[in-house]
Amino acid sequence: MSPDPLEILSALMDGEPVAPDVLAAALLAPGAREALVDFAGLRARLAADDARPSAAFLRAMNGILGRRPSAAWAVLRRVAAVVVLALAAVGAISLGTRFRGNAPDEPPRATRVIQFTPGVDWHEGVQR
Amino acid sequence: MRMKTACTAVAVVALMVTSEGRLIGDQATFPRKTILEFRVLATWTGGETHEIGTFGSGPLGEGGSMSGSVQVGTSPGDEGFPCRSGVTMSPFQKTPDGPLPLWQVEGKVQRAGLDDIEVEYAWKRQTAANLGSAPDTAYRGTTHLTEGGRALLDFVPAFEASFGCWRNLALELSASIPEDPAFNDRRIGYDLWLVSEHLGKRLTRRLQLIGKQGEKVAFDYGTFRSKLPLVPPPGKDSYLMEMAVTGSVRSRIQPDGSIEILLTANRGAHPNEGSWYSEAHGSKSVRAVPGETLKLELPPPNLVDPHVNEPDTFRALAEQHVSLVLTPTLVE
Repeated sequence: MSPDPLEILSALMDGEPVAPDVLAAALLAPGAREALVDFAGLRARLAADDARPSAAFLRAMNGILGRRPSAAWAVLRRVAAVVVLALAAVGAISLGTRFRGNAPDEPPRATRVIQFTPGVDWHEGVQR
Repeated sequence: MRMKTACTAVAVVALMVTSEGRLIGDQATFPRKTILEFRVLATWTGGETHEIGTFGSGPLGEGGSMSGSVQVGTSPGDEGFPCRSGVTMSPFQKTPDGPLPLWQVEGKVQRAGLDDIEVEYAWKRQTAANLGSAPDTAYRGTTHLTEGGRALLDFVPAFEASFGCWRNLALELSASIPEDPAFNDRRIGYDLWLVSEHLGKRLTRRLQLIGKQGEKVAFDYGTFRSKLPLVPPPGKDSYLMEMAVTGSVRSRIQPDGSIEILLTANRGAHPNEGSWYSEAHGSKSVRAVPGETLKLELPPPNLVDPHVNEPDTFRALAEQHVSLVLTPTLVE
């Protein structure tokens, strides 16, 4: 059974892969030209239509379908916001460290402590 | 980090073991050579002072000596100069020639420390009979010189025409330590921290310096201000003290891989609203392995001005613990 030529053309308009020989056969079918023009016109009108359902329409439909905003979803959204903020803070700290070149604020621990002895190797007055 | 500490400790032990039984730590174990130079300076009439001749000898080990003679002379000048200087040097004793000085010199290296060279010297100045403008004289003495430091030994003012175009002549002595060619181009890095601890507060400042083998590198941490727990001066909220720490570090890489270091430090203190200033200085010679960290504690200021009667201030300053933390490294 050969495929419907109009379905072949519809698939082509939807971006689906169509074999060239099958497409050539479909274009020879009666009414193929008119159908292709109709498909193109319908796609153009859909692309130009930005109408959206109103909030009242959505509430009414949710009532009919028995849906309501989930409390778990609200908690999940808040947790996600906290995680995003925390990651941003960590990133900022890391960036600051990188700009400071990882410079330590404290000297390394000394392995030897040496003391000057006043009167022996430490003297009052300006060095000459 | 623990592995690094362990390596440093092993290196310290290895250094102690391989030092042929001589004391290490604060003592140098490798003998130094010294070059001694007797230099003649001349001040042109209406002009500057210049070196016109140098008689050098060395390298000399400790106990090594040199001697020679330096004869000053002149010849007619050219190209607008009234005269030309002429200094003749010889390792042998000479007799004076002409009205200008002949210096017979001797020098002996008594001790060659890092930046502290003790030299015993003698000089004798003569001029040819009946021609000299200054009487013959001689002197013998001992001096301590820093590396490249100079000591003026003799000064001869011009008080008659025999000096020609010079106003005066002088003889000076200097000493230097020549670098081992194996390390001449090496560089040493200094990670140098100043740490001040007072009343639970800890302030740090860091300097990172690099010096060539044997080069003296100066450091200056600027001014530290701190509040002392004392009655503030009239019209002030607090008793502010200012402290300044400066100094220098000079090092040499030794044949065993250790670094010989001489660190000098100056610590000065004065009140922000006061008229007195207390300053003290010191120097330490130590040996360290590259990467080893040393802490040098600087004593607190002492009351030296008898007109200053602030015992509480100096008691408070004694509680201010100041130290330098130094980590020398080899710069590859």
